[in-house]
Amino acid sequence: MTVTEQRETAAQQERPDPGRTTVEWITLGISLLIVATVIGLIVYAYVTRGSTPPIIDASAPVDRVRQVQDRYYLPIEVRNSGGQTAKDVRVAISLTTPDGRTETAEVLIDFLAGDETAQATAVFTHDPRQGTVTVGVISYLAP
Amino acid sequence: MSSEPVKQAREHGWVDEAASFGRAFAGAYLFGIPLLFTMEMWWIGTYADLWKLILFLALTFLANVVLTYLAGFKPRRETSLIASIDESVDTLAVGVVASLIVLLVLNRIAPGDPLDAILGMVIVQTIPLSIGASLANAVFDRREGRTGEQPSAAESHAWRDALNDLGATIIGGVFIGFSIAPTDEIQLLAASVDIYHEVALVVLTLVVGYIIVFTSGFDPESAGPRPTGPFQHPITETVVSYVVSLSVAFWALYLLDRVDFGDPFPSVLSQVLVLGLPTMVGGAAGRLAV
Repeated sequence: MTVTEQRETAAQQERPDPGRTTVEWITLGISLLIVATVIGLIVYAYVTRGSTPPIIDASAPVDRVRQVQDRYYLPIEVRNSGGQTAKDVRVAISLTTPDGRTETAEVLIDFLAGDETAQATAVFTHDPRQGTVTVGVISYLAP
Repeated sequence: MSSEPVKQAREHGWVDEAASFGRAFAGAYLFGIPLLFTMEMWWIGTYADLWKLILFLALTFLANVVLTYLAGFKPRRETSLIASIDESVDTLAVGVVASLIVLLVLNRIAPGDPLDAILGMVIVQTIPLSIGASLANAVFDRREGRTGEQPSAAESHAWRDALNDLGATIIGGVFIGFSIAPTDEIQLLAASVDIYHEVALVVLTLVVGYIIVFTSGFDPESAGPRPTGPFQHPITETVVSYVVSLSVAFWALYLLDRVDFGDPFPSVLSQVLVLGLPTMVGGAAGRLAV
């Protein structure tokens, strides 16, 4: 296992047939380390997260609304706190203004992995800060 | 340069090992670049079960053992099962690293992403990339390659060689560039890279191009003086072929109506840079083939 041992092995093999040299032992060690790390991470991910079904929450931080001319850009955050990935996640956002009018927007997210947060933006013609915003996840597909 | 073959016969040192791994990366990208630009491959990685990833790695490893037995990426001294297993571990690692680098540069994965999505995307791309690395010798060890045209009368033919290289770069670049340019991946990737990713993309493209150029001239038999024409120095050749690749990428995107002269410059630029990577690899493959 030690470097000296490896050198000896390499030196022994060098005379008759240049076998594995020190350099090759080092690169093989690095390669083994990379592959072992990847396998270790897969096992770690499996152990820590398991495979619970998707749990999707959506929120709209109204205080971060951006206004450009007569449009209001409302950021939407959609988070999957479950283990499995959800596909085609649909989120509906509706804004009810103080005078009773309703505007709706819909967001479609292709893939939302477990523990992932997606950022989207809904665009309204009325100020979301002066109305009531409701955000809800409508549906998703099992991939 | 002339002492190099002697040194190689004596011991397989760092220079040879670096050249071997350069060859492995070159083979990986030649073989794997179209799949790196396929969005279905990214998606599979996002939702693949973790046990499947282990299975992918195991199957790829087995395929690599067979392929490294037949081809491999190191200068072949002996063929044995142990040597093939060694090389297969190496090519698996090369695949992982090659895939990680490109996915990071193309902003498919970022440090904050969920671990299993990163693992999935990297491992799915590792399959073709490491197979390419395992086949590197079959691609680059060609006696009748461009380096095999003995440079006896090279001086007088420097410009002809340069034109040959230029033509081969354009043909190879067109071959890969036109097959990737019409796909949505280019616009999707172009929209998601920022200035840092673009700079990294330029650097990566140049490095990959240089590695392939260098590797294609690695044949120990022709390790003597290369032709001294204007395109024959590896760095010059890399830069010139990058300029050619970017032009091919632009015209591919223009002719296929993906970009137009009126489009905002940053959008055109990022699409051309994104397509520049596969075009560069295609151009290098073209020079290998001629």
